[in-house]
Amino acid sequence: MPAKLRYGVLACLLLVGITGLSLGLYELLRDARFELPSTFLSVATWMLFGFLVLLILRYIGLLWFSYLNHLERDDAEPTSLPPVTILVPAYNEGAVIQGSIRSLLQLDYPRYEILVIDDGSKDDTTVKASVYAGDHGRATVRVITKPNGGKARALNTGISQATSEFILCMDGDSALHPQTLRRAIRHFQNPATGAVAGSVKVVNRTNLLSSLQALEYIEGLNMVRAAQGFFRLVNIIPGPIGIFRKSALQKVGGYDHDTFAEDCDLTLKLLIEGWQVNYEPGAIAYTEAPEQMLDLLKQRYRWTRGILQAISKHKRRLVDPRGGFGVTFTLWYMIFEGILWPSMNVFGNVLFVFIAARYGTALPLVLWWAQLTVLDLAAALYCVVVEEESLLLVPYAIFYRAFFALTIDVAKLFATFEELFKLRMDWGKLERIGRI
Amino acid sequence: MDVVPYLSAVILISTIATIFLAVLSYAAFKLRDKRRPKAKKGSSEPVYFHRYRNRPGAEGAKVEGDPEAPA
Repeated sequence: MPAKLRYGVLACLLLVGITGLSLGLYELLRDARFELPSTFLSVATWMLFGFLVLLILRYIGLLWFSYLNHLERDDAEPTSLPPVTILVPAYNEGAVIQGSIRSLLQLDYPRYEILVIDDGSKDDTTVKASVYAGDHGRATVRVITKPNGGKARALNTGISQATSEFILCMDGDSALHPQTLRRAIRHFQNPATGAVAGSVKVVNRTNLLSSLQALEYIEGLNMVRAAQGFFRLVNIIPGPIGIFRKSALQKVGGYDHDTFAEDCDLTLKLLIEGWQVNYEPGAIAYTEAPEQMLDLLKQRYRWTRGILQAISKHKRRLVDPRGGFGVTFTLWYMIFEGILWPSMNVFGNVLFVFIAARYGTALPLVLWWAQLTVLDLAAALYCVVVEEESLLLVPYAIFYRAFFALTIDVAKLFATFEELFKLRMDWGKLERIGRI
Repeated sequence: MDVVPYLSAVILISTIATIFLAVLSYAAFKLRDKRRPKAKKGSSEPVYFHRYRNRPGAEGAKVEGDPEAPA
């Protein structure tokens, strides 16, 4: 039997099995003989109501402040274009490193340096990168190798070797928009700006999962960063694109390697040190998103635990706002987004399903989902228009609520428990497909 | 025709199925993760990364076997 047909038959069997099990569970819940105590029901109802109010407030707040940030945007050319060093840490990126360097050589900027740091790769990363080493007119390419020590150490090596005051840190598997440097560098005209977070976009929109992530990056991540950017309090400068002032990096000691979210940790250190962190939607990095569910869970597992580790590392600031209330607020917001929000989403869904199945409240269930879907669609439409993205992504908002967000939140919840119980975790590395 | 009961049934079943699949996927991810290569016995060299260990009462966190970790 051909492999495609075999997978198709297996997928159909799985679908039938899952639907059968769900129907069975649904019938079981409906015919359950026990009654829930009225106190539990009233508390649960109020919790669901609170969850709904919070969800709407969160949406309105994020949309409003991201809109204000959008209005505030100044598209004027910066008065000067200082040299920039681009750091490309690479570990076994042989499949994608040449594509990354080629895209970097296309940048529209008068003077910049590309520094590839091979972090002890076991493949042909150095050989492939070295093909481009040398002077390319506006850009110079340098390749340095070091023993394997992780991305944070590789970036620290790059920071110490960088010759410019402004440093762009990216992933070896990412590509940049040609206008990225011009758009990002203008924020540094403000001497209080320590770093600028760029916008990450998914390049491989090849299946449902990666297309959902494309929407998630625009709606779930970039919109949040835009809202935070209004307050100059972006809490995570994404790994694929962050532009830093070198003196700010040196002041906070560069990247630490004691958490699994070194980019989040560094951003928090900059905020604690009093630097402003802004968001620039025009500084765009294209990255590969996981195309398989297990790879996606692996990525989110690392993000969740890494962010919790970063919060734990700076937990003193949760109760000590003396260094600036913005940092304290940011840390509490991260707890809300990292722990409270996923827990409420999973709990809300389970409870709502149970109550709806047990007590036959069909209309409220449909209305609940209808209003959530309308909210999701409206937010997706706004974000897609603002980010000048494809309108074809908007309908994915329906699947986003029904399938994607819940799946990710369940994984986040498990990862949170593992972090709370301090279970061992390894770095791991996603296998790249090489679509860039 | 009243579509509300059908819609509510679809929503219920898809939510239950999603939760069910999410838990299964997470279990599969953990299972696959366990089968990844581990460091050799007696070797202090980690395969991928240093183990994260949070110390109670400290601002920073310590990494095992890491000479650059904060004291």
